[in-house]
Amino acid sequence: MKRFLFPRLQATEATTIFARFAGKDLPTIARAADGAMGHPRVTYAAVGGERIPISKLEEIQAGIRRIAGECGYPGRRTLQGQQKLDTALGKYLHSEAGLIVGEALRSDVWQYLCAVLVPDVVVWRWRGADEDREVKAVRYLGGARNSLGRLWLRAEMFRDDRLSDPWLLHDELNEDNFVGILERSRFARFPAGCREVARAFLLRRDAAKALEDVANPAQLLVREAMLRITRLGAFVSFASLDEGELAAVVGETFDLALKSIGGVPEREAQLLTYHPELRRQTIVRRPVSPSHEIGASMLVGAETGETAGKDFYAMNPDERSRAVWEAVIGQPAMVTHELIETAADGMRKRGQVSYERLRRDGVLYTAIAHAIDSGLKVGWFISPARGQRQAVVTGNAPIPSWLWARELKRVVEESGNQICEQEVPRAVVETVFRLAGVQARSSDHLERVQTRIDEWKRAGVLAAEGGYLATGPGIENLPPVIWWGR
Amino acid sequence: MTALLSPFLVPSFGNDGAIRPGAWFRADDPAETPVEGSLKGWDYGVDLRFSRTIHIDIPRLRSEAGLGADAEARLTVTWHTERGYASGERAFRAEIPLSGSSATTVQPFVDVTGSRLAGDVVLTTHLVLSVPGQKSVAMAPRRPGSVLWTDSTVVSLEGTGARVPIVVVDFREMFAPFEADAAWTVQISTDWKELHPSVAFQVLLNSRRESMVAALRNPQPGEHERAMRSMLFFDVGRQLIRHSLADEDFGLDARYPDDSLGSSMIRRIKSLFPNKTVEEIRSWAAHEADSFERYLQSSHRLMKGTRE
Repeated sequence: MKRFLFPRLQATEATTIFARFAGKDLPTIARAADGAMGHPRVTYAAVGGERIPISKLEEIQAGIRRIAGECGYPGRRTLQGQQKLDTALGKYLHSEAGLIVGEALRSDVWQYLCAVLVPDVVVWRWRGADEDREVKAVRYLGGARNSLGRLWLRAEMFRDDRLSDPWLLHDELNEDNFVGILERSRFARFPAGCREVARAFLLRRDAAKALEDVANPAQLLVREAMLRITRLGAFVSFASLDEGELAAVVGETFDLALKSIGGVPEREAQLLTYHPELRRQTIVRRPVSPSHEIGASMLVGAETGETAGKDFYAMNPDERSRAVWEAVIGQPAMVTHELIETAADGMRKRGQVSYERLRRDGVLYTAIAHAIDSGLKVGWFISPARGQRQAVVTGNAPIPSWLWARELKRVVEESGNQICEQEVPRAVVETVFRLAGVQARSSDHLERVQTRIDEWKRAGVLAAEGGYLATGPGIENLPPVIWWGR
Repeated sequence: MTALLSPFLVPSFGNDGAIRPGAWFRADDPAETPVEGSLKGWDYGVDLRFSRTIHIDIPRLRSEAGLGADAEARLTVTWHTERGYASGERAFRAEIPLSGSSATTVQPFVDVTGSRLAGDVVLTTHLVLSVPGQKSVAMAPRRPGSVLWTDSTVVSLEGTGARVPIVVVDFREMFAPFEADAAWTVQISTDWKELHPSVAFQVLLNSRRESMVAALRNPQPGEHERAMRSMLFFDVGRQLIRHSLADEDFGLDARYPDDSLGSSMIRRIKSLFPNKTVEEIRSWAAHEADSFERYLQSSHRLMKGTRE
């Protein structure tokens, strides 16, 4: 969806406009808004995008009025209608209005939308048909209670792509719940914490509601938990916690809050059997290395490594050793410093680390060195000569099929496309075994390489003539085989 | 920097401390000039990359915080914007094992998407405990996430100066085919005199002129880019002056709203042409156009870097 720069309106102008609406009926206010989008006192961001065309503003005005119409506008207001309006408008403003996030954070944009675009809907939401009631300034001025801005903010903070229904948290929380979480401004500036609180609450909401002799127990649970979280936030940085750590701290806090109001906490695994819709799906980041291109390859397999897509810093020590191994397996023995640089480069290509300059005294360099040392103890790395290290294939572990493919291609290309086909399997096996640090040889491997050669000949990757092998036109279609390491 | 009133032991920080944080700088600034106050040239289309170095004396940190060698710390950086609704995210994380016997330097790189900012960005660095370990003293932090040290830097992104409203668009989609290769155009509203400058006119820049777009976005423009900028801003100023003079209703004694383009142009023309009436200026522009253009170039310091 295209996103635009929106008109902005100063608070004094918005106040002046709303003062004119005092005592006016809804149709009069709506008529005043129709065709008034180009208010003479609006401003725009000087740079940064395309100004929203009037036609798009008219579309948004119609969209908001349509949703309001489904909730009772311009007739009698009901509590149910207001709740439905808030939920639906939040999603609409977030997903369909075309607001750049930076614009949606600004007070003056919401002042324009409330005072110029749909003042009739704002008045209906807070005043109803009672023309003598006044709409409080906080409902059209910027801030936490702005009629439209607060709805956009809720959608921004509580839409959670980890859930099978990303809008579940947003749709399930009520007005008091939203306020109870978002009023903790220091905590609520980061969506991850807000989402985790909402999820922990919804998992335990039924347990709170079941409490007798407690007034509004569900909201009491939110209030008690947020008080504890705020206290904890004085010396704990929630934003520094990983997803699992954050979930554990927030869950534990909610359990304590539930206990404090007389409830009985249950294990999260148990709670998830009642509410499977709140189970988080793991979002695996796609590696930025060429590994995403290998899906097309039936010729070389589809291995990406056990640690593909994982952040190096989020791994445990074994995983770190494995990630470094995957980044350098297939490389010849080299001095440790060179191996660390090669590993860092390989992991950067796989999207597991990011850095500008690899410093010898830096955290990443040290962590890779530790990972190699740990790998030495379990045999993933060897020290073939003093000061040298090499990643090797251990025990009965298979040699990655891409390594076979890469070396087959290299052997043929480096021969100048003039190599006797009979010599190729042995040459490839020797190279691969040297690179993988494997001593034993068997005729199985020779046969496997021959099978690969036959496959590649059929696919036109290799061409055979007079007993000699050369690369064929299909070599261009061969996907990158250097997915791990260089 | 924030001095923590902490319920547990925390390490010292500052020039002589266990933690020695460097200033934030733009990662694309080879001079690594500290980012202070406001940042020029930002808009929603400009993503920002910041960096700094933080020197951590591991043995001293361990000793001062009462942590064992089996503990681990974590350095994180979050950014958030707080003009209007506050919003942000964690943008960097590094695990720091505390088993080392020497100092280490961490250099975080923080990427901030320009379109998610609203006028400012606050960069907050936290050093927190991630793994408590078994060998810590009684007063040491125990809970993961416990803040050992933190600091925040606020960078204002828009400044207070007026900016020329510029929009980058593809001219092929907006104008006739024979106009599609133009570099820029200035569009002025019919009721420009009463409107705020951000609404009264805008400069459309052709997105297909990539070098021109790059010249405007580069925070450290080279000589060639500065010349391109100078040419653009001169032409915009020149067109606004000529447009004002061509409008018969425009006068130097007229009254327009204080923050309108009309009042801005009165001030601008009075400063460029002191002691001249609007009729005299119109006559100069009409009858001695070459002299008038030379004066405009000179007064706008064309190619002399007034807008750099």
